[in-house]
Amino acid sequence: MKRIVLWVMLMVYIFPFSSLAMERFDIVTTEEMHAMLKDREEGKMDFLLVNALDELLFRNEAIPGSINVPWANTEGAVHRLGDNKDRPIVIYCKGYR
Amino acid sequence: MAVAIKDLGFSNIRIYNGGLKDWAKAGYEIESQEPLPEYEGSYMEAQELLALIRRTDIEDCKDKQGNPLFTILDYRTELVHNEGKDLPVISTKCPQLVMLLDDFADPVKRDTIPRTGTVILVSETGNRDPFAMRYLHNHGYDNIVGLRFGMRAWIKAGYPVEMSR
Repeated sequence: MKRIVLWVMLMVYIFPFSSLAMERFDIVTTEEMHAMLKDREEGKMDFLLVNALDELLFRNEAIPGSINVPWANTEGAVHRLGDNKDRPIVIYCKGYR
Repeated sequence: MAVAIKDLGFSNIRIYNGGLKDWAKAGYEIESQEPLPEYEGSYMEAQELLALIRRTDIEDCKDKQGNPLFTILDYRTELVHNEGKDLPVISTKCPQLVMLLDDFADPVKRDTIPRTGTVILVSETGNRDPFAMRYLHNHGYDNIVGLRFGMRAWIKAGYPVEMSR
């Protein structure tokens, strides 16, 4: 019981600090991705598709319609995301797991 | 990456977890602005590198002409981002270069990669090594090998590391 109380207290104190908490983002499946790109092409939705790989890898292979913001140089390339910070963004990379 | 973008104020972020691998597997189109030429690179197991280090460290890693017997080219993004302060690197007396993969495109930085003696690529998991080798081979390097499964394999095997400075 004591252990559970300690664990709950830990969660309450630690999780508000984003740097310590596990970040969670919604996942897009391959079929959803395909449908989203089709909808974007038809003007039904708007989002940025961001390839987070190194530029050399991005130039070698990318999903059509992506922009490159390499993880290795996020600050140098973040201007490619534009000024609208509410615009939906989907990020992908190599996908090896 | 998503965390970095979120920290910059972007609020509506999702992740396509399957990435290029699943996209290609599903048969969807992949575009290529500058395709890397095909090249079948070679790899070294962590155990082989350990044996090489043990052998060459005795000779201070130099051949009879004083050139390094091999060089480690560590291009882990996280290592560069941390300015080499906190992460384990392979322990050896042989020279180690630290740069980003995209630095290979900079002729000045690329020229620091030796063309003699073996150059061993070290990445996080080895996933980017085929592309790094294809790129460097296209720029005339025929002395590059990849450490199979990268630093992850080295650490998993419990082989010697030191903290980079």
